[in-house]
Amino acid sequence: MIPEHLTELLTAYIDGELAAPKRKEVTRLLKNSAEARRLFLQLKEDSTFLRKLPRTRIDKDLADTVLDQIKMRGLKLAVRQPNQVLVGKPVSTQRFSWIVTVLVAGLMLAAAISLYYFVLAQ
Amino acid sequence: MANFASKLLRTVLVSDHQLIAECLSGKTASFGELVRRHQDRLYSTIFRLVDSAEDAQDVVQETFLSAYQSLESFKGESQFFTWLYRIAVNTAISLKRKQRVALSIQASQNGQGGTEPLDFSEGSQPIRAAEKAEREQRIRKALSKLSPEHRTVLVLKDMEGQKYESMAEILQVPVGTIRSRLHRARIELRDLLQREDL
Repeated sequence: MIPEHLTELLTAYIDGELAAPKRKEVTRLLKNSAEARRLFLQLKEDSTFLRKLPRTRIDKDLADTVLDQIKMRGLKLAVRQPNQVLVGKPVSTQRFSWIVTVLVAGLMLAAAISLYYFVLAQ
Repeated sequence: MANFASKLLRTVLVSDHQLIAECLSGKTASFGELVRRHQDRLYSTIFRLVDSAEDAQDVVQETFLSAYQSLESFKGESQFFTWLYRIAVNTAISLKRKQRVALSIQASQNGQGGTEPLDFSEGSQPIRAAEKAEREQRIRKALSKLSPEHRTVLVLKDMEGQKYESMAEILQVPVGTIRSRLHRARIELRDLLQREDL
């Protein structure tokens, strides 16, 4: 009987989610145990069959049904104002980032022009 | 033609985040585009969880309606599809749990085991195709006997190719839970298939 902590390693190995040291441990286990090899092959085959089960496509377009249901059920969502952004940063932070970018670009341009005239003067 | 081209371009170039922003600004039609984009993939996963085209359609529809109502709460920290997946999987699991309870009540009232009979109508199929169909039937039957939680992790891992981390995010459990759940699911599936062989 294979201890549970080892069968857990086998299943994680099949899942492709083991780090290299643990993979080596599994390789050693499979090399030394016929029972582990048998179980591994069976579990691997089960996983392969699951992966090969055919995908089923939906036979209708739900978009119109969903939009109709939204109307019929009177579903509402909080309407966002146009100047609000979806993720994270408030507008003032976005504006600040732009100002910093412009300043840095300006400084770099000034440095490039100064270097040009310095080299020309040489 | 120009209309078709612009629609196609929009499908390719407009991100989910932009469509969500348009919805939240009052353009409900943009939600229809989100539905079209994600319905196939969502349906395919949910069908594998609930085993019924009708139930899968209902779950997917309810998922989109729930998503619409809680769209404001989507902060963009994960991909929109992951967020949708989460709603859909939870809806499907709840449905399966209710159905299992209803089936076991019905079975205890009728004095039956409640399992479906296998259908082995081979007709004029070649032997290999018939064997393949039989194996598929066996694995589907075994899958249907798993608990909703075990079935879900196997579907997400083997059929949807999700990583542990992504599954943990979808199911809102730690990665360690995903690992041990998958382990138990695989062993249980193996036991069920072995019992079928005896």
